[in-house]
Amino acid sequence: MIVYDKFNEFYEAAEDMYHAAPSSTRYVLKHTKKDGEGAVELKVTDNVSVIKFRSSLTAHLKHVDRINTLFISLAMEKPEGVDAASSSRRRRKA
Amino acid sequence: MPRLSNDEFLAEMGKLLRKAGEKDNPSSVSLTMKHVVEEVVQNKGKKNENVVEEARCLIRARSGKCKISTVVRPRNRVQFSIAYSTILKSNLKSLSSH
Repeated sequence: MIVYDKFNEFYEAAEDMYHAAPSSTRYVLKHTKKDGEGAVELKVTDNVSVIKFRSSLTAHLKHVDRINTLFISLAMEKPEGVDAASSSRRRRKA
Repeated sequence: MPRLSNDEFLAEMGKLLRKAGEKDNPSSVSLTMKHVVEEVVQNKGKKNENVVEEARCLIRARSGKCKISTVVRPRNRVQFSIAYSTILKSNLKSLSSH
């Protein structure tokens, strides 16, 4: 498990991890609130390795936003190696 | 784990985030995003009916024993992203400003 101090390094590592294994990579945002103080942990894993970034600063909210947008966009891309012809097939008529 | 519509999910997610850390409620909420491929039937019932695979984003939220999930389709992406980030921002304000 690698815990990054710099968000940009975490962001790049997360993007690389997703491209290497799109179907098994997931991104988890964990928000913890105790005694009125909050903290956020961002985790990306492909079930083999884990990378994390932790923060409790409001200034890092824009980072959370960036990685959310990245994962929503990446998840809707067609995985590489699957071309349009092979992913579409005609349903057989009964 | 019920699969909710995008709007229902956002409303429930907002509730879970607001309640987190309060008395008798779990102190944390986890939000997971994952790539899924689902089949879509095009031109249903017509001669040229065919099945196409569509990449979508599965989003799960968990807080204690409460688990909810939704699937975002590419056509709802922009609308969902805006609503999702607004809810997150308004509920993560408890983070320290120092």
